[in-house]
Amino acid sequence: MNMLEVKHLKKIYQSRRSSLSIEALSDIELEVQPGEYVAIMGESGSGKSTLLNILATLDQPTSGTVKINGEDLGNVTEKNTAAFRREHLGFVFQDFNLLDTFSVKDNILLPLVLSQEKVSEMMVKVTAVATPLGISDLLEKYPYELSGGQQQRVAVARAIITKPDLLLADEPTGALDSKTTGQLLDVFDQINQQAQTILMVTHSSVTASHAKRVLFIKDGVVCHQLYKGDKTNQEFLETINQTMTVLLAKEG
Amino acid sequence: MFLLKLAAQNLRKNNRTYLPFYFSMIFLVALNTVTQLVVRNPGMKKLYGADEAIIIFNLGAIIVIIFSIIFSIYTNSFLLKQRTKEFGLYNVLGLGKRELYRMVAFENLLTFALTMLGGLLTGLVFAKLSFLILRKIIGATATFTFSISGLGLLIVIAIFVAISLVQFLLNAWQIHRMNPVNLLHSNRSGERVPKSHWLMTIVAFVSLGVGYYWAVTINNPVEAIILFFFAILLVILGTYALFMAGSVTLLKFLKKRPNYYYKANHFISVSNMIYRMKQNAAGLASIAILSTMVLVTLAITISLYVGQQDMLRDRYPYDVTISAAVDDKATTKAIEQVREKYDIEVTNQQNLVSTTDLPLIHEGNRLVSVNRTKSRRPVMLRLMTAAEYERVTGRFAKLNPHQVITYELAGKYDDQVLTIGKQRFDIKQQIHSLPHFKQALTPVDTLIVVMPNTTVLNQVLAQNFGRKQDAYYRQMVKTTVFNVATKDPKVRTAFNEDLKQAVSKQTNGGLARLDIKDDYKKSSSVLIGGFLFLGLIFGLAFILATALIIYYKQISEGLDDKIRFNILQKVGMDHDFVKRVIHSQILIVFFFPIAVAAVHLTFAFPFIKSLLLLFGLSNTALIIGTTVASAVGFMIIYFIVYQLTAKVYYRLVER
Repeated sequence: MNMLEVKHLKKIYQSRRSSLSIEALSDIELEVQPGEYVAIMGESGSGKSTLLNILATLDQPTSGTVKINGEDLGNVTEKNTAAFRREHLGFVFQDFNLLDTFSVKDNILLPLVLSQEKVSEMMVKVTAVATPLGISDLLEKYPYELSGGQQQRVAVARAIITKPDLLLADEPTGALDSKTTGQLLDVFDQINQQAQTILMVTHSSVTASHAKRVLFIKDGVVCHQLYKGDKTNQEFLETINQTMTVLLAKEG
Repeated sequence: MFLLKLAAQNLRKNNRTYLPFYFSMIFLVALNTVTQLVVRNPGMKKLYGADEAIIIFNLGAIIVIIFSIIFSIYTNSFLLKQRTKEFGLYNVLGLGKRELYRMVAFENLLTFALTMLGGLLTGLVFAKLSFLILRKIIGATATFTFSISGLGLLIVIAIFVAISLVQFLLNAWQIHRMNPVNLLHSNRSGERVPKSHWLMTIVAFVSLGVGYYWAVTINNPVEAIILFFFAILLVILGTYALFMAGSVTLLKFLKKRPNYYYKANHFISVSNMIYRMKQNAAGLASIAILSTMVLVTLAITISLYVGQQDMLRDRYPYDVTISAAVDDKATTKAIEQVREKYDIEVTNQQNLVSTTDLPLIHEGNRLVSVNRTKSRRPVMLRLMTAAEYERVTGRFAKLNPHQVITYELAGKYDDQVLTIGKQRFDIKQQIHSLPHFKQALTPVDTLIVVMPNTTVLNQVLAQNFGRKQDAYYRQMVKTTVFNVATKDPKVRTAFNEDLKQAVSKQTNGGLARLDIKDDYKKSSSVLIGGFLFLGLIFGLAFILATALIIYYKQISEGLDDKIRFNILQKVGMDHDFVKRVIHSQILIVFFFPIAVAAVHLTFAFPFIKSLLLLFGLSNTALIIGTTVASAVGFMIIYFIVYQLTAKVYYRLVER
């Protein structure tokens, strides 16, 4: 069974004041297998953020279906979307979105507390997640005391502590420098090896080159896809760059 | 001149952030103006019990000043937080820090001029209007008329010159330590976690404890006014410390209990509240103190108003009270003539012969006459003979020469023995009622003593009040009381006037005195009405101040919480839950200050009671009733204000 299945997805933004409407997504088809690591690339305004918001149940499609682990998002009622997010999805955002009122540990524990897990289990889980990410020394610190890279690793820990079906990442390296970008991508590789399904949206080809499959979105449709196969990251990066040049050239 | 222009422009362009600041500053000036005008109103001095009234209102005025200082610094810091980035931008664009200082100085000067003008005008108009309304209600003879006190206005101006200076210095300090690059980059550098200050927490509880202890144990707040004022200052200090440190310490303590803390609703509330307390402790503490002040003022003034009838009954059990020396035949005759002239039916007439009120004081376990030493515990004694006692009560006294019967007219005298000067008496019996004399709580203890016979009574007088200048106390007085049967106010007034004339012609012996209930009723209702009115102005001003702080709080918190709740929703918190958490936080913030105010009020109750006693109001049930009623009324108003401002908050926080 597919972990994620998107069929004929369409999203039209209707401006409230005028009759002007913008078609962000025209017809998206997408399938992700369990354990896959997929990157979606596209220019600004190509609709990739809209797609991610719909997958994240933060936004509703105009038409088309989205199934996560067999469950149709259209059937999840508004009331249950929050619980659905908590149980099935994990998020990593560009600007980390850590709460400055919580310590690192409490930030990581947030989804578990919302699911009302037992305190003893929480503590076991937090150590289990923090150690491989190299943040177990930072647990008592506060977000403002951390570097950007450290903050993003905390955000990753918060996203995967619930063992989500799907980890969604929105420009996860967007606010990081090249060194910490490298470190974070290593973290993603590492958790993907432990069978975590990852779907990431980015416009950085370096970031995308770590994924096993790259999809290109343009004008609201998936226009191309690349498989990494047994290429190295460097080789895959070159392929991606060439593809992008070609895609851009078409426009001209 | 460029900087002046820039400053003026800043004020105009930033009106969204500046407008609330202006309003609050104008309001503070107006508030101080009104309180100063009320306190320094010449009518205050004419109030029965004026000294005590002036003391309460002066206390109120001082608290208003303290509040103004704290609150203006608070609003200024709120403004400063929003403007720091702007200062940084100017700095980057080429304005040196010296120019910035000058720009800020101009801004502060303009603000000062504007708020002073606006505030004084508002305050004067508000005061004038209120006094006009008062005149309308009470009638043309009102004691309280509007008058401008030059000294009062000067005080207001002086306070705000000082406040503006402090504001300028704070602004300059902010510019001095700013680093423009950092400012432009870090938009929202995370706030530090507040530390729990154990020392400050201890200070909070100690000063609250001592303040409360004094407030409860001081018997006569007017005598010990300095101490009492310190008690108030301690409670204010304690309240601020409690909100600033105590709350954080408590929340941190809760945070260390995993089984409590890691529950969804506690988790978010506790950690949010820690930050909230840090930012808003001063605001919340101010609300608590102002609320207390409102409640105390309202409780006192409304009790006085509602208790008028009570006070009248206590002070004047009968319509007419005439005291005259026993041998003062002329006065008696004059009164007889007036009564015959009017042919008014008189009911309940009684008379009693006794000494005057003899002023004595406790010295060890004896009572001695005042002249000998100075002491703080005065006692009034009124002596009468056993024969007179038997005549009035119809009971046999059967006293041997060393025995007396006592009656506690006011206060307590529990001893078995009564020693007056050198004479020792055994108290044979304590009685609990005596026709004509009604038990009442008055500030000075009063004891009626039934002496075995005239000889013993005269001995006591001679030994204790034997000096030449004490002749007054050696006289026996015949007190006659009666009610006037007619209800017709015209006849009553005419009768009273004639009585007064008749008595005033007879100055024989200097003892003749006439007390008429109707007269007292008239003057007291005017005064108490005026007093109630001043209390209401005061209360209204305080309520407005409270509303203003709540409004400020909601805005500043809403902006911060918006981001937090947004993240929480992304991480998987549903809409209803967000609403519930917001609601419970609002409720805590709503109830905390009012709960503290209620505790303050409870401890202030003995003060309220003893103060009202000085006005002659001793009905404890009535005082409790009005105090509770004012508290409930205030809570309702507070709740409405809170609901209105909570809407602003919801609008900011909700997506």
